[in-house]
Amino acid sequence: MSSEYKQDIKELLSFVEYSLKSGVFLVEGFSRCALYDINSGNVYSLDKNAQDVLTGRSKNTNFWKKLVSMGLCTDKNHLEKQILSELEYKPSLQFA
Amino acid sequence: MPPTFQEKSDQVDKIKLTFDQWKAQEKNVHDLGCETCQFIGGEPFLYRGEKGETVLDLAEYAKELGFKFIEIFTNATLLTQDRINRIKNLEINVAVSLYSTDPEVHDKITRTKGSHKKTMEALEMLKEVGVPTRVETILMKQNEESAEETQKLVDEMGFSHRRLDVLRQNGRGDNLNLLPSNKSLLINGIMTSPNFYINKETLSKNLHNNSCLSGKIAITDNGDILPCVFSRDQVVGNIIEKSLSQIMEETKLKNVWKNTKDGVQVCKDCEYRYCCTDCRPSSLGANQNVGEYLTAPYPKCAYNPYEGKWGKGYWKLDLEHKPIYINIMEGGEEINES
Repeated sequence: MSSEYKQDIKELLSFVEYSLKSGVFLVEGFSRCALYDINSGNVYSLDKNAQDVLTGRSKNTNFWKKLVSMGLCTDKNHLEKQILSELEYKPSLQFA
Repeated sequence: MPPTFQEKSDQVDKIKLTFDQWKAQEKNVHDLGCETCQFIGGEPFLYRGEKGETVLDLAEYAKELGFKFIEIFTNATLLTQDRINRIKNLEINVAVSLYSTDPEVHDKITRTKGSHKKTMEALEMLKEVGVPTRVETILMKQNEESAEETQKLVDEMGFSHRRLDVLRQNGRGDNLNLLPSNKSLLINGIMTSPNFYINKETLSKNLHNNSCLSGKIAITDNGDILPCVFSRDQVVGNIIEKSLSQIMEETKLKNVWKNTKDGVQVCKDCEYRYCCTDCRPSSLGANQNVGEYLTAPYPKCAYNPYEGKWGKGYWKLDLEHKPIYINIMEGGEEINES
């Protein structure tokens, strides 16, 4: 049931001309995964099949097209900006 | 920043901070960039300095230092018109505990006859004077029947409030007879369906830090530094022995602040781990003797990441320290699911 300690978040997953937009992240769980969209604030729950498509383990163009229609993905074949490295947070004292 | 009394006998003999030492700590905290402070207890209006100074003198000094948000969390029974006028003049905030609309229930919980009347009278005065006040209700077995009605009353009185706060199994709350029923927990204490929101700031914080504790400390009246006022047994340093900045550089506090859900049992396997909330005192309280502060499973979530399903239950550790899912049945009965 348990897995090892991990920090696992992926961005800019792509397939052919499709790519997740900047700010859309895949977070994998034990049996499902989630897409976090910091542009809209939405969090989407996906099953393992969707996870396989996003991570390139299987192919499903229709799924990528669906993500385009939801505003989570681009099909313009241009380079989206990586922002995961910008997600830094240095804690400072804020409440006592 | 709680000028409070300690309940544990092993702490009775510790030296209490003097009024000047409290002021020095306020300055230290502010110098470290902190702009929000709260005075909480125990009951902060019981505090007396060596020359009779009160929590309002400490709040006034915090105001002088430039704290942007100052709040006193009180049961309000010691609030007088003069004190409320001074609070108003200081432009600070008040938070009040109200347990029930029913005076008998409230007084039974506070173990003080007449406390409900005093609290309600103080709330009227606070409203009359226009002091920014929130009124919070701790959900426990004794008030679960009237808790929602209490929040309705708070709304009608024009005060703000947060969600019902489930009693944590720490300190006085460490008593199974006080815990709300499972049925009540499912309604008010456990997240049973997804309700997440994410933005850049939250994700940045949750990827590297604890979503609740990061950036927070509590200072007790003997100078102990705690990561949370509900974590009395998690002392990370003492400001009589070391400076606050030293304590903040040490591993103990850093480990708490940096405790992400990647290290929490069950949560580490959940896809929502970077967008959800956490409460380490609740997690430890629900897993006493088997769990550890930084890793005990969060007991306020009904999601099962191993099955990818939202249920009606919660996670806890069994006697072998392994997570088990406790299903809550319609009548409130529990069934373990290993």
